[in-house]
Amino acid sequence: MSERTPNISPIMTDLLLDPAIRTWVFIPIVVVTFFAGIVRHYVHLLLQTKKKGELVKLQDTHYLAKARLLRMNGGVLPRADFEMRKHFLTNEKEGYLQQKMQAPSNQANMMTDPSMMTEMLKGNMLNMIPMVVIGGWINWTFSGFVTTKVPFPLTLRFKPMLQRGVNLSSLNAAWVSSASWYFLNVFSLRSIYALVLGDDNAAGTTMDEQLAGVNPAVQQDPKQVFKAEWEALQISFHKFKL
Amino acid sequence: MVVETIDWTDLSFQEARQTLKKWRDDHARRSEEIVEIWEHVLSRYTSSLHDELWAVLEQVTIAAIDSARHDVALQCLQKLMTQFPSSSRVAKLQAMRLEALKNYDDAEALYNKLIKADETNPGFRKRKVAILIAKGEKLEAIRELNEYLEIFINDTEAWIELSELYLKEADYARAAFAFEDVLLSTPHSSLNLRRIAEIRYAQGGQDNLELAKAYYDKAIQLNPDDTRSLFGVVLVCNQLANKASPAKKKELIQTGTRALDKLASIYKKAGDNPKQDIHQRTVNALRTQLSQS
Repeated sequence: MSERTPNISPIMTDLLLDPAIRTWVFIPIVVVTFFAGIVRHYVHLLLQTKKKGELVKLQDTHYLAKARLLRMNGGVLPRADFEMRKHFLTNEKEGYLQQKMQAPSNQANMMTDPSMMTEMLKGNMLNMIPMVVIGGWINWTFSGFVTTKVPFPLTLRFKPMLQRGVNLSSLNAAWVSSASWYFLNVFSLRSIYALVLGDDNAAGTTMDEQLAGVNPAVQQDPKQVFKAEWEALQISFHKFKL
Repeated sequence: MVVETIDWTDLSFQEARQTLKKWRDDHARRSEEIVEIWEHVLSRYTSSLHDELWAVLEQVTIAAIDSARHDVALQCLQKLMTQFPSSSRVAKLQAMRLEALKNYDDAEALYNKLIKADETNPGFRKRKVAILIAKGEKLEAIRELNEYLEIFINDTEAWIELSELYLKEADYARAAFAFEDVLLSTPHSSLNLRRIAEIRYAQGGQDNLELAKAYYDKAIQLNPDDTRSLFGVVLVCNQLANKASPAKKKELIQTGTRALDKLASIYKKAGDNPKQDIHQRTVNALRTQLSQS
């Protein structure tokens, strides 16, 4: 590996990298990441259990959509009919939304619901493990040199993060190691997966979606959504638009 | 205007495949043509269709059942059954074939089984309602459809069907109420606005007539060349003008006359319509009636 460093200033080093890096590091990392993603997608398909929808949940979605439509397009109906429908949905004693709002909270069930837990677990495992394994392997195999240069300037604080194995204090922070090139690939190949595998692919989920998403959102969701719809419907008044 | 006739038996493989795909995506109900295309063109190229074959077979089966070509339907169904032995989609096709052969009890039993296996599929329940309608048991059908709609409250197609069932029973008030749910889903459809205007007009009574006029106006606004809505406006204005105050009457007559002028211009533009003079005379008669009311 040859590095020619003209000593103009300590920060402005302009490296010329061995072309062997390009052939044996740069491109293999892209290829490995890409195929790992494809394999992940197909494994996900294989392990996917057939979802048996629940009738009640489907009914709920229908009613929510109905409430929303009533709010948005209610101006087309005559006043009496609009009020009838609004009453049907929001009445204190018999209204559907009302009932759903006050239903005994199903929150406890969410955590102990076995099917949901296994789904989450599977999804998490499937995404985390390959990423960790391949990241570790790359870090171990391709350490000690820089792989590529990002086209924009970075501050010195990025150096310990992006230049893991290289301990050159004068090296421009834009030069990054292979591990960071790998992570860049993982996040960037999502759009390529969308092209290759179609839009609904399992290879494109990031850590953020997994962490933030499933657990708290689903717990609160049904009750909150119903409450929101109910409030919106209560305050909507009817103006005949025709 | 000469209608272009296409000889469906003469298409190339690619054209046939594309046409069927387009009809699949549009849910077009061109059953006889689909069966023709299948018989004369595509049935010889089953190996070149690969995965698309199954979707095409499903489309052809439904088309064959619809055009009473039970031989073709049976053929395609058998191919599907060998490939997908325990599929609920194929079972639904089998049940549809039983329905077409008037074997309603077996069909209903099959649908019940399918519903128990998958409660959330709306298609099976709707086919049960279709059986009741085919048997002529309108009231039962209305009851079942109402139950279905309590769960699947947003199913526009079902609301339209319910509205039509009520119309057949001459229950205009309920038909209008049911059709309003359709309006909620498609508020800008001039077709649906016209339909509900017609139901309201048939109901009669001052409020309903005013509603009808409002709906007709909106329909014309969305589609200015709709002759049926234009005629509707004229008739409603006529009715309303009978009992309206003088100021209102003048306004109504103005609206009606405007609609009549539009109709006259449409008929004049149509040119070589053989019933041209009948239309013109109708328009003139309405005009005199309106001005005399």
